[in-house]
Amino acid sequence: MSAPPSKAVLRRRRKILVRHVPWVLAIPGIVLMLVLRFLPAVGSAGYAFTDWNGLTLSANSVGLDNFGRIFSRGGGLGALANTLILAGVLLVVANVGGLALALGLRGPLKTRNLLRAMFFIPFALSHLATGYIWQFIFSYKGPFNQILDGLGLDSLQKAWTADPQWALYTIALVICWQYTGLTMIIYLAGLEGIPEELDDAVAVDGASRWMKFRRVTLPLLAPALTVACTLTLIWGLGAFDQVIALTGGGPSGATETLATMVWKNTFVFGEYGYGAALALVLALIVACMALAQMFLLRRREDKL
Amino acid sequence: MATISLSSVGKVYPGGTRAVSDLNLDIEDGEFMVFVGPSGCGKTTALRMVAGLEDITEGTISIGDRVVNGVDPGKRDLAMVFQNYALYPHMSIFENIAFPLRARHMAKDEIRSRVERAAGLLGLTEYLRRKPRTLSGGQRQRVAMGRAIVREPQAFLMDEPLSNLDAKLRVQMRSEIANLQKELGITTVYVTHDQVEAMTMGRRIAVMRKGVLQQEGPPQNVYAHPANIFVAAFIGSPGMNFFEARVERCEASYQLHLRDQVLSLEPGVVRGRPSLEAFVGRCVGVGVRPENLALVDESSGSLRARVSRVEVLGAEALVYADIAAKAVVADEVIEAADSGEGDTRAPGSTGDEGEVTLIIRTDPSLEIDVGDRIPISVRQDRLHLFDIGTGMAIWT
Ligand SMILES: Nc1ncnc2c1ncn2[C@@H]1O[C@H](COP(=O)(O)OP(=O)(O)OP(=O)(O)O)[C@@H](O)[C@H]1O
Ligand SMILES: [Mg+2]
Repeated sequence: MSAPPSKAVLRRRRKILVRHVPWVLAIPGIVLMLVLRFLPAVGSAGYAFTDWNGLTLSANSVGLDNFGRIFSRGGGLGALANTLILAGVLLVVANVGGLALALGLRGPLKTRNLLRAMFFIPFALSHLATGYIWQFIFSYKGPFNQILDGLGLDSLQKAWTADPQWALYTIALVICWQYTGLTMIIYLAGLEGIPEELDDAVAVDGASRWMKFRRVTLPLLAPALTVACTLTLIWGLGAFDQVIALTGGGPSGATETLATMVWKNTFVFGEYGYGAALALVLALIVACMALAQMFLLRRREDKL
Repeated sequence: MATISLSSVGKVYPGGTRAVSDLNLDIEDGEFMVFVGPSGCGKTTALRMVAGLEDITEGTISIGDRVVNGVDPGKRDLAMVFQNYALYPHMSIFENIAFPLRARHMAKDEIRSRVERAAGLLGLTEYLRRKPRTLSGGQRQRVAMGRAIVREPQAFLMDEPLSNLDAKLRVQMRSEIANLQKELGITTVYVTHDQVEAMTMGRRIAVMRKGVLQQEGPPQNVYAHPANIFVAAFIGSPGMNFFEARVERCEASYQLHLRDQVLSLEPGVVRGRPSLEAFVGRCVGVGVRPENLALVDESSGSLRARVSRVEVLGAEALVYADIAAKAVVADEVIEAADSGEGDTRAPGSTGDEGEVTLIIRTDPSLEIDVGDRIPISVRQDRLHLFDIGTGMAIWT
């Protein structure tokens, strides 16, 4: 039999235990999180290097073939380009538009609360459902073409969502419509954070509206800008609902995005391995671009 | 540099609150004018109308000989110092001070030399590259001053610029601002609710109450000849003593009858105020400042009071003593006393039932005990009498 541990040893043990108690208590949560959330993600990333079809028990390793397919013509390159275009357009339009709306709806306008709500509603509604409404609006016999007709612009009529040249921009329009309301709210919140006294100071100092915007308002909106840009970039890169509702990726893949390809290959075509590879590429792109953007914007914030 | 004149200026806020009524005031070129009054009396509103930050509901404001009613704030060529300084938090001190110059598209070299000169004047040179948040309150206040003086504007407008500073710094900045203004000779309108600040800084003060100008003039004039009971109560610290007394004729002169004592008015007091005749048999408000009461020996005392408290403040002592008299309980007195600092009497105070507490400013070496009945003399050439009905001082 060994001697019972000395008091000092006991005390040390207790100290170690106490220091670790918070971690001990968090273990169930961490385990659940890992098992349900991260393991499947990492695990499915593993399938990106196989030809698994999602049904059979066996999967053969195919090395980087799936990735080769993605970065080949006729493979995922078109979808990659579409994704980047959608994200780019959304990033610019939603932020410029949202900022403009926020500035416009900040003043002593009587109807501003009504207008704010109106612009925010598109974001609050189901994106899939409103996507189908827009699909109807832009269909060949839909209201949009009828309006063109009424304006005597019938030469411009076309099946907007079925025209390979126009379908992607139709989707971009709908996505921008949906997210501009949200960026507006973010910028409004940012504007609320700018002390009113600064408005007075700027007015007395005699700065022009442009100088006020450029030198005072915009710099002080930096935190809101970071949040809004990061969110719109992530959403743009992940565009899915609106594409499915408006075009389903068509015509003939002209509006396919990485997100719709992931879904189609995995669940429609039964190419789980290829789908996983696409998902991995999408995840990496989102992570890299969002982090890079945040890093740049944050550095700008710090300079202020 | 310019004159500023307000003529019949009034302001009603969109919600219907009337903040300023019929304000008439001419501020001379290079003058230091202080708007003073209790909280909510419309000082800030008046100043913001001059600045152009608030629409003018009635009347006209002119700067120089130009009516500026519809003119943009930036085009009035005024500089303003705000209560919370309103510095641009993301700009360096240099950029903060340079901002109004940049807004006027001044040449770079000129901006640099002007900012450096202003910074030198205010002792800010070593902070020019820092951000406002890294400065102390006093330094920020200076930056706000710097942004104002760098432009050499027509006038300075300052809205309680010292209220966020601690007492010591406030006293120091008080004289710094006053000296700077004298040096630059720029017309200045300064708003404060602190009557000490007003008295020490202003060449002229305008006392306001509930949006109405009560009296304006050099501080000493206003102190010595308050136009009404509000101004009398508001200006001075500790505040003026008030009690009611009935006027009675006594041979060629008049007497003031308190509950149980009588104060005979000296011929000088009566001669200057023929209108007292009309008050015979009625009560008037009597006001006398703490320094115009004195503790004397039995033979020469004209009033007697019982000591309730003695505060020794180093160079002087404040003796609180009760007399039997009716307190003046006009709103004006209560409002003024509420906003005064260092006045520890309850508003319109009565010591015991039917008594009024007087404060006597006196020599701290006198030996006085609580409970003593002491004889007091009143400097009658500094006595103030008020019509209780209207609150107006009786000077004629
Ligand atoms: N924007 C506003 N809308 C409506 N009423 C206002 C507004 N600003 C001020 N008031 C009202 O006008 C009156 C005068 O206000 P003002 O700010 O001029 O007072 P002040 O003398 O500067 O007081 P303080 O010493 O507290 O700063 C107050 O009754 C106030 O409630
Ligand atoms: Mg004010």
